[in-house]
Amino acid sequence: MEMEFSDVGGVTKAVLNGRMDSLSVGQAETSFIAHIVPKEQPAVVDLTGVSFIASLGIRMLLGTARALDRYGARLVLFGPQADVMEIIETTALTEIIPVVETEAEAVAAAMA
Amino acid sequence: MESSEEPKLVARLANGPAAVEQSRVAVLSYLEPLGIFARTLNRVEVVLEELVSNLVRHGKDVNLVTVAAGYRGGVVDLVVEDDGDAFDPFALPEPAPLTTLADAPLGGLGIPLVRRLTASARYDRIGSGSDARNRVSVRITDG
Repeated sequence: MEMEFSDVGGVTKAVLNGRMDSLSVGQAETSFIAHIVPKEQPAVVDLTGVSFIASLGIRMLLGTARALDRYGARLVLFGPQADVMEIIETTALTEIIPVVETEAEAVAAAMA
Repeated sequence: MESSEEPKLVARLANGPAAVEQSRVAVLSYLEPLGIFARTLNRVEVVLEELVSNLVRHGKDVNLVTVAAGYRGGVVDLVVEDDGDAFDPFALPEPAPLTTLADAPLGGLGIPLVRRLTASARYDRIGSGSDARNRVSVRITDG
């Protein structure tokens, strides 16, 4: 899984590409959290390029969102492919983390 | 397997992180030519990932992981066996629904995912003595 991070007007933007399976998440999780949580600001995660997600990928997103929440900052996901969205919905992650279609919607939701 | 038909694919893998990818490649290589819906293949892939990675990460005294797959009548049957200590992954109760980030559990998400993505999921302890094995059998409906 490839990751890129940037700052969009006070919102951390993470772009993920590839598979969020147990192997790739195991290699990437610490770095992902370290690029987002210490900034203590809202964050959006671009899932457009993610082709597969399993429970450890869900855990990575959930753990990051929970850590940000302690600082009063929100994590918002956007652009998941249909197969990825089905897994996100099946875990009920959408109950506690917003998932929207576009980056603009995500940034607006994160700043709300 | 619940089906009377023998599985069409059997992969015997040494326990270790590589078994997750090896099982994925083996099962998808078998299923992809059969014209199964992409959504079903994704569900199969997620279920397999959860079951095998669970074994690799948490199984005790597991040496051999055997994955079998079959497809008949719009149904995918998957069976994952291991030779480790007895462990029923479905014995744990369903976790509480996610309501707030602060209360959300960070672990134990995989087996509930398996339950929800499958039409049926069961555990059996089979064999005895040195031949005793854990067997998890799941059925995924195509469509």
